Amino acid sequence: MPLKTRLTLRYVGALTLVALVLIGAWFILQQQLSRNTQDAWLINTAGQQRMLSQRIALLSDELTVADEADSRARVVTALTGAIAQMRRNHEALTGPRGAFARTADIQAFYDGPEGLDRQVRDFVEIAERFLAAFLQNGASAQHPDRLIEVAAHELLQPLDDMVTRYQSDSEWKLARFRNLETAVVLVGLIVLMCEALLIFRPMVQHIDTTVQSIEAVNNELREFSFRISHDLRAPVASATGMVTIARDALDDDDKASAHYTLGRVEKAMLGLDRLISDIIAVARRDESTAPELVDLRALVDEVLARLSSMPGAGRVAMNVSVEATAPVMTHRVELNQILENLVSNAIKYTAADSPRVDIAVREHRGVVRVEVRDNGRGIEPEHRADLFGMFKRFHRDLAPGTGLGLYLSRRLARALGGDLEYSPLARGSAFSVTLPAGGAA
Amino acid sequence: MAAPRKVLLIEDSEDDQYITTYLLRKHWPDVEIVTAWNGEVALDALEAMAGAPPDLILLDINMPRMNGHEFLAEWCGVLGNTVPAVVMLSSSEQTRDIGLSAGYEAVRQYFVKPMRAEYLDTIDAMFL
Repeated sequence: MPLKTRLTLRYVGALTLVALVLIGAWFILQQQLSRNTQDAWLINTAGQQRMLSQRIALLSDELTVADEADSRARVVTALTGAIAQMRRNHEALTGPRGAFARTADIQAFYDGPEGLDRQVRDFVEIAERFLAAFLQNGASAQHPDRLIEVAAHELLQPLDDMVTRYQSDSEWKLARFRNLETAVVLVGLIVLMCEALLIFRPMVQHIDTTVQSIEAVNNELREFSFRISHDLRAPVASATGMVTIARDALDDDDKASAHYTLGRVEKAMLGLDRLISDIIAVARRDESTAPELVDLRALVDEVLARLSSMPGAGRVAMNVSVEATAPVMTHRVELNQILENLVSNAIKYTAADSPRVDIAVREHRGVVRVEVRDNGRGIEPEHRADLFGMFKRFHRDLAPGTGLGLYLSRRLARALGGDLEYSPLARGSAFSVTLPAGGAA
Repeated sequence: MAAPRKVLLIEDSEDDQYITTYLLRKHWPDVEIVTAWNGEVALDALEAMAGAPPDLILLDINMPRMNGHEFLAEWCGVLGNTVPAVVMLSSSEQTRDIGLSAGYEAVRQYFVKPMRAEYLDTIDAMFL
């Protein structure tokens, strides 16, 4: 997955978690706000009941002493309203609207033969009966002693208790809300901490390592361009110097020297040409031909034939052993380039006395291995790590080279789905190319 | 002394060794030339020649194992030599390379490769 997508996914995930916590907090707050409104209504209504009980008793008493018709009518209206209000309130409190606050404790207080529900209903009934009797019989009706007695001594206390209960229930809910809010904030902080540890810190580290590896590549490229400019320039400068010498020798009529010098110029130019080809090969590895069936024995023979004209090749004893004879599906041009590089290296760096190069082709468990061994100086342990690096040359005194051969060969081998490895020998070096026998990647 | 009699040439490129040797011989017909492939070989050679040291060292910079800067750090820096005269002969025109070598008392000149007859005239002037 590309870095940008990964970063975006992680950040979106982190922000979503924080958003979820915030939305959760918002819901809890909304719920609590609506509860507060309900609780306010409830406490207010319960308080009204307490007030109404006293008001009904008072108005009833007032009615019995009212002597003028219009003041009596006013009291009747007020009493009728108060009784209706008390009944409506009671129905709301005990009906569905007040159900949310009816805890077991409050329910128990309402229920039962001595419960508040019964008491309020009885009270309202007494009040209604008194009012009806009064309206029917006028002043001769029975004095509302019972009503005043109930209001003052039986109902006031429980109604008062009820208000306290509703209030303490609301306070308890508020305390629970406070704890819940604290818990939400804690959860939010824990989420942020987890995100810092599990999302942001790894991302910072990831970005850091990415930047570092880009810097490493950048440095390698800078080193590469520096080396290239030196390695391209040096043979041109030498050739220029040698052309001057050749002209000088011709002026002196020293044809032999001129000839020899021009030979060196030619060699330098051939080396430069090889370097340029290698650089081009490094630069455009993407263009590739189609894979084809390659006969490894034939390919090795071709490579050996081409290299037989190399300086020093004639005195090297070549041994080729091909055990795997089945053709391999691979890219011929690339494999040819790898083998030519390995065999020419082996010829260049093999032993000075009784030089020998062994080439073996084997197949084992679906992997074809072409091994090229020489009996030369080998690679010193301190140089092995850099062996496949760009422009790494360890034995300049032994033979010329571009420093790109092994770098390029390993890249090619990996592009073919295989690899190129080095193993030290008691005397000399072994390089083996591995390829998937089933075909190139 | 009007010309160096013995020159140590520290150079890893065979072609440049050839060019320089050819021009030195032509310019100073009796000169004795000792060549070293790199700084390390040169230090060994200088030790071996302690009884009859060279009059001039021609030094390349870009060399394997021990490059020109490392050679100067050892020969001039650690061992404290100010003679013989060292003349740089490198393909590098980088100011860093020129500046680094100019910091040593023994280093008298910086030439860009390849060796030319004019360079040798300048060196002649140093030996007047």
